[in-house]
Amino acid sequence: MQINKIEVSELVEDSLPEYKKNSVNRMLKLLIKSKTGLIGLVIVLIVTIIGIFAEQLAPFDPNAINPMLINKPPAWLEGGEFAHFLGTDNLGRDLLSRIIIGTKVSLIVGVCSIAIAGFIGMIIGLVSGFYGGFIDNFFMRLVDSFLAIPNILFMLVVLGVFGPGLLTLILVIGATQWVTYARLVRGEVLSIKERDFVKASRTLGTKDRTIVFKHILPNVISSFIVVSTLSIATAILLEASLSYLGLGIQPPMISWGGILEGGRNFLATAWWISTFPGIAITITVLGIIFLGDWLRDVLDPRLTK
Amino acid sequence: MTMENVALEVKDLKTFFHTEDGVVKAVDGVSFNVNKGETVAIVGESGCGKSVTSFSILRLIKAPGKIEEGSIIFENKDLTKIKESQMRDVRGNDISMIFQEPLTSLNPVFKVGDQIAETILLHQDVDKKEAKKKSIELLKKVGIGRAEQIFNSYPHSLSGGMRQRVMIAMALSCNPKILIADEPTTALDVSIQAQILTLMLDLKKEFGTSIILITHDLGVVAEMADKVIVMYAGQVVEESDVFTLFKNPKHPYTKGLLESTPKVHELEDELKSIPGSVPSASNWPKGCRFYSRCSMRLNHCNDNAPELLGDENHIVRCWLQNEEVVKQSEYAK
Repeated sequence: MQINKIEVSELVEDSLPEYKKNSVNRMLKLLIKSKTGLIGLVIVLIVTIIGIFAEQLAPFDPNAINPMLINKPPAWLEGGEFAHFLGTDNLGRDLLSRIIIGTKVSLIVGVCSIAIAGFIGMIIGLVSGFYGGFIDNFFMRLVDSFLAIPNILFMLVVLGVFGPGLLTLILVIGATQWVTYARLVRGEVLSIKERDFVKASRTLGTKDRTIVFKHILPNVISSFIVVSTLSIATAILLEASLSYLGLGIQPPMISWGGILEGGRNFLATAWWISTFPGIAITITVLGIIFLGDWLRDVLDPRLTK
Repeated sequence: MTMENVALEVKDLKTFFHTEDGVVKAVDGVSFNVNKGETVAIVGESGCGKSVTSFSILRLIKAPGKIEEGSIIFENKDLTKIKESQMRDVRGNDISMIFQEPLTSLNPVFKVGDQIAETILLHQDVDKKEAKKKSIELLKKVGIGRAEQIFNSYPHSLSGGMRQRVMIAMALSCNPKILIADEPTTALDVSIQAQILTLMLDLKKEFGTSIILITHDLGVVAEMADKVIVMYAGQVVEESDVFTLFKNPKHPYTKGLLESTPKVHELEDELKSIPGSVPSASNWPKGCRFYSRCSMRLNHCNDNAPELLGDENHIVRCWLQNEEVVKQSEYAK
C-alpha cells in the first residue's frame, strides 16, 4: 500500500515555494521594479483620498459666488492670490475647491458605470462563450449592433430624452461599455473551455454551473480587471465629454467636465478655468492606465521571474 | 467468462461527427468488454478513434459529434440512454479519466488540494474537513511526500510527474470501478513514466479498478495490459490477450505496428514503418480499410469488408484468416 520507494527521486522537485507568502512579496517586487506602476498607484491613491474627503479638503465652498473675485488668475501669476491657489472662475468661485469636489463625481461615474458595464458584459460573455450556438449568436449580434451605434450620439439621445443627471449618466455609460466586456469575456471563455482542466473536470462529473463559476470565471478575471481599469479611464473621459456638451452633470453638482465647459467662453481671458480640470483629468486617467499595466503583470503568475 | 465478471460492455458503438464536409465516422462499430480488475489497452495510431471511444464511454462527445448507435452497458445501465444528471453521477464516481497532459489538466488558479476535495464533495456525502482529510490521504497514497504542503500548492509549482500523480489522485478519489487513462505517460519522461505505471498497477491491485489504457506505446502495453485491442480506422482489427498478441500477431497492421517498434538487440539500419496513411474518416473505403497500406493484400480485400474472425481469445478483422478466400483470391499488386 505504501509506495514510498518512488518518493526518493522526487525529493529534488519537492522544494516548493510557499505561494501565499510569495504573492505579497511578488506584488511589492513588481511594484518597485515597475516605476510607472508605482506612479500609477500613488496617483490613484491620492485621487481616491481626495475624492473621499473632498468636503473636508476643499478650502472654500465650491459654489460660493463672489463678485469681487471674478476670473482671478492662479497664485503665481500677476494679480493672483495665494488663498485662491488655482485662481477663480467667471463667478468668483474658487477653482481648487471646485476641482477637489469634482473628483468625487468623476470617480463615482467612472467606477459605477464600469461596475455596471462589467457585470452585464461578464454575464453575457460567460453565457455566450460557454453555451455557444444560438445564444452566442444572439448576444454577439446584439454586441455588433451596439458597436455600430456611435457612442456619443447614442448617449446624447438618451440623455436628451431622459434628462441629464448622475444616475442617467452612469447608466448610459454602462450601457455603451458592456460590449467591450462581453466580447473580451466571451473570447477568453472560448479558449478556456477547451483547455484540458475543463475537460478533466467534466470527466469527474462536475456540473456546468460549477465549471463556469469555479473553473472558467477565475481564469477570466485577471484580464477582466486589467481592461476594467482602462475602462474606468474611458468612462471618466466620457463623463467629461458629456458634461462639456452640457448633457452630463448639471449644476450645482460639480464635475471636471462641467468646470471645463464653464470655462469655455473665457479661454482667451481666463485660460486656467478650463486648463486645470483638464490637467486633473489627464493625470487621473494616466495614473489609472499605469496602474492597469502593473496589475496585468501582477495578475499573471507566468510573469514571475 | 460470466457476465458478472464484466465491468463494462461496449457493443457496436458508432460515434460520428457531422461536419460540413460530410459525416466523419470516427468510431464505426466498436465492441469490446472490460472485465473487473482487468487492464485493457487500446492501441492504434493517431486518428484511429481511440480517444473518441473513451470520450463516448463518458458521453462527453460534443457537437457536431454524436453517438449514433450501439450501447455501453455498465452495471446493467446503458450509458448511452440514461439521463444527463445520472451520467454526471457516473463520471468521476464510477468511471473516471486521466489525460495525456498533466500540465494543462489542472486548473491553474486553484490549489491542487482543493481540486481533489471538490471531486470528493461532489460525489460523497462528507463535509469540507473530511474531504480535505481524504484528499491528503489520497495524495499520500499516490506517492506524494509532504502531502499537507502539496495540498496547499498551486499546479504551476509542481513537476509533470507530480501533477500526473495529483490527476490520478483526483481520478481515484471516489474509488471508480473503471479508470480510463488516455496516454497517461506520453508527456512524461521515461523514469517518471515507469513510476506512474507502477503506481497505476499498485492502485489497481488495491482498489480492484479496471483500467482502459489508451496508448500508442507498445512498451507500455506489454508492461501493463491483460488484453489488447488494436484499432484501425474506427474499427477493432485485432483483439487478444497481451501474450498472444505479441507472440502471434495476425493482422498485417498489428504486425506492422510491432515491427515499427525499435528493438535494442537487432541492428537495423532503418526502422520499419507502415507505408501510407490512414484513409479519410469521412469516406472509408468499401473493402478493407487497411487495403491501401497492406503488404499482404488480396484482390478480394479491395471490395469486401472483412468481419471479425477467430475464437473468443483472439479475433482478427482480416480476410487472411478465411482459408477459402485465401485459396480463391490472389495477392494483389
